[in-house]
This record gives sequence, structure tokens and C-alpha cells, in this order.
Amino acid sequence: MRQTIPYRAIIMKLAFIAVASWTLPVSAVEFSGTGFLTIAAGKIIGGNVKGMNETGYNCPCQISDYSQAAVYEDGGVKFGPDSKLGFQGQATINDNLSFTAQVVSRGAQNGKGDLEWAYGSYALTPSTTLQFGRKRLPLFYYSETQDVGFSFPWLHLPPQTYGWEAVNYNGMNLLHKDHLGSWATTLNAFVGTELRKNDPYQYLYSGKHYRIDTEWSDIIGAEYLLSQDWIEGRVMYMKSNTRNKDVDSGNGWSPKKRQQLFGASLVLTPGDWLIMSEILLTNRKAYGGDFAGSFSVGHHFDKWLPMVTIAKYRQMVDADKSDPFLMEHHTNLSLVLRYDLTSSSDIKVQYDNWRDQSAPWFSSNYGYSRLITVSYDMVF
Amino acid sequence: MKKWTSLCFLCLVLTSAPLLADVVVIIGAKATTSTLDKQVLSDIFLGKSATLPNGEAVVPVEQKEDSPLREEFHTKVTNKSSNQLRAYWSKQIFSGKGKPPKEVADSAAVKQLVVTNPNTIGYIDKAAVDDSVKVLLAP
Repeated sequence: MRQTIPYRAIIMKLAFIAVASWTLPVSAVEFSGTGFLTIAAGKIIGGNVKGMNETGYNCPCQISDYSQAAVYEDGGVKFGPDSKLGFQGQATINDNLSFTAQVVSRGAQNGKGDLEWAYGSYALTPSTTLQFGRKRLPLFYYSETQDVGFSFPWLHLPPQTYGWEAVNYNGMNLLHKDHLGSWATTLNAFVGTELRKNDPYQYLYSGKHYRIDTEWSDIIGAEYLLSQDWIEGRVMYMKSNTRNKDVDSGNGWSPKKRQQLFGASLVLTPGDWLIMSEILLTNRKAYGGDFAGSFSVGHHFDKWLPMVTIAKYRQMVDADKSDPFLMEHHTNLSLVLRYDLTSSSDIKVQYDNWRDQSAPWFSSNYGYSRLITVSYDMVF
Repeated sequence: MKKWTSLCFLCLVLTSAPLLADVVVIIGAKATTSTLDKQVLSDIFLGKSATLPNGEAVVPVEQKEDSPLREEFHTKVTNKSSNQLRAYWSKQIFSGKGKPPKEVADSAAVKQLVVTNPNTIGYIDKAAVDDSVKVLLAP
């Protein structure tokens, strides 16, 4: 039998905590701020699709971030797709309670600022924290910091794995740190919902300015991380309902369809080596399912980190649910070189060779392409 | 000539002295914990663990980012360079999963915090150890 989560009662309690904290004198609240910046420039250096594609992108072209419709288009050096600036502010009420908000301005969205995070954090014990508000969905190892270029080795995350129509949720999560023998563990269980109006992800399929809303409702999931010395592993499971609204056509919401996502990550750092692998398998009632995976090997040479990544995405389309003509399937080979400028900044250069094996629609609109990008990342 | 050679050698020793400092991890002398292994310390200083093996809450204290002792401690215990450590904390801070330990100026400030706050741990120069603290590990 399906159980109903008592959202109303939980929200009332959290609202009480928030209101109680606001009655404190301002002098008792400690404010702090931090931020991040990525300035990136990229140029398409080859590809098989020529001219404007059906969705309005000038090709040869390559997608660098599905969720923000960040696309490198033909025609010179582009600064927009991967450049971003973010600010994060935190108000610490006391040792147990704090509020955090993060705003990100992206070149891919013409500099428009988006509120990506806005959440309260309440420490129930030194090892257990309840968080509530707007957060990132922890689908992959770097999903929650996918805007913070300095936090990961690539210039942009592999689009084959980090490319989904919803990346945030409004709800709550429980974070618990513990030990399993000599392994440090973190359990992060989350529930919530996400309504993404005028979802940029949909531009890639329906048109650059075509408005489609995306909803992921009844999200429930958890991730579990284990680490010891140079080994770190992670598994994630989540399920939700999903539906879309075609705003421009005037159609209402599509029927809700169930989806399940299972992810696993392994990060190994023996000595100066960096070995990473991630996979995601889905079961989506809307069309079938997906496989997404990546494998990376890098080696630190003092301040230099060269790394090679192979990433793959394959959509599995059931003919009775969707049109196989739309099936998407591609592999990307990335070569990255990162140099640590200071303890809080780096420069990177990345080469992406995107090989396409999709069905005719995606193949004729995006195809294969080669891209070179350089960036400067910093945190402050 | 011999005098100049000796003087140069002395200058070399003095200027490289901070790099040769021996780092030790300490806790207040009255604490019940007397020893911790490298893995436990790494978990505590990376925010992966908020408790000691006996279940008591623990608070780690860092030295300033440009401190040679900090670099030596993290090279030996967490196995991370200063840039890797900052990238690690960026991931934690911007994902809401943790925040780095409080930073203080030097070994004297660490010692003062450790002595006055039970179950606070930090690392200092071995030469600064006295009866007010216990050495948990000399990595």
C-alpha cells in the first residue's frame, strides 16, 4: 500500500524552527559568504552536421550541459556555455541551525541569475543533520557541485552522465555520518518535488525558444557513500513521477509516468593516480530507460593533472511507448589537462571528441563533433 | 673562508627550519582518548566523522592555509595537497554536506583551544608540546 508522507506536519515544524530563529537579535546571527567563478572559452573544430539544425542551433555543435541547454555552436570562440559565477551566503543562527542560499549566473542563460540552493540546516546530533528547502538532486558524484568547476577535474562534467531535465528539488533530506567497521559512511535520504518552468533542457529537443515545463513529483531516494583511505564508493537510488507541459502548444500536462534511477560511483586515488567510474541505469515508463556511464584515469604530476575520460549514454526506447526514431546514443572521449595555479584556482584545457550512434533524429541534428575549450576556475 | 661556509650553513638551517618542523596531533591532557590512528584522524579532519572512536563528539582545529605545518599534516595524514584539500572542501561547502574546521593562527593558538575545550584536537610543532597536552599521533 502506498504511504503518504506527512509533508504538511513536517513543514509546519520546520516553519516554527525558522520563525523562532528569526526572533533572535540580528547581532546573534553570524553571516558568511563564499563563491565560485569559471571563465571558459571554446571552439568547435569539427563535426558532420552543417548549418542551423531543427532546434535552432548553428552546427557543427556540441552540448556541454544538457540541464542548462549549454551548447557550443559553430562560428568562432564562444564564452557562454561553460562560464558561470556563483555566490553562496550563509546565516548561522547557532551551533545547530543555519540557512544557506546560492545564486548562480550562467553564460548559457545569458547571465540570468538562478536561485539554485535555499535551505535550512538543523543538526539533530553531531553526526545527523536535517536539511529543508531547495537543493540539488544528488544523482551523481559531482551533481551537487556541477556549477563549481574548481571542485572537479574536468572543464565541464561528462554530458553523457550529468545530463538530465531536472537537477534540483524542493523538499528535505536527512544526512547521517557514521562508520561501518573502518569505513566512513554518509547516508543522505531525500524527498521532494521539482517543477521546472520553461525548462532549458527541453530546448535541445523542441527548439531553442520553445517552452516546456518539467515536473518531477513524489521524489524519494537516498545515496550512500563509503570511504576508506584512497577508496570511495557511492550508490544512489531514487524514484519519482515525471510529466511535461507543452506551454507553447497550449496542451496541458501529460499523464504522470513513473521513473526509477539507480547510480553507482567509484573513486580511487592511490598515490598520485585518480581513477573514477560512474554508471546510471534508469527505468522510465515514458519511453523505456537509459544507460549512462563514464570511466576516467588521471595522474597528478605536482600541480599538473592530465586525465582521459570515456563517457557513454544510451537511451533504450520501447517501441510501444515512444518513437525509436528519436533514440539517442553517443560516446565522448575527453582529454583534460588541469594546472593548479594557487590553492583556490586552476586553469584547464579540454578536448572532446563526441561520436554519435543515435537514431536519425538526434544524429541529423547534433551528430558527431569535436570541441576544444580552455577555462579559469576559482573559488573565493 | 671556513667562517663564511659555517655562516652560510647556519643561514640555510635557519631559513629551512619551518620546513623541518615535526608535526604532532594533540588533545588536552585531561581527555580520556590517548591515541588515534591516521585513518580516524583523516576522517575527522575531512569532516567524514564527527565523533571519536569512543563515541564522544570531537572538534578539529586547522592552522592557517599558508602554514608549513598544515601542509605537512595533510601530506602525511589526509594525503591531500593544499589545492586538492580546497577542491575537496569546495565540494562539501557548495553541496551543503560539510564545512571545514575552524582555522587558528599558529601552534600556540591551537594549544590554547585544545587545553580549554575538551575533545578539541589539533596539530602543532612537536617542539611546542608540554604537560598541558597529550600527543595522539606523530605521523
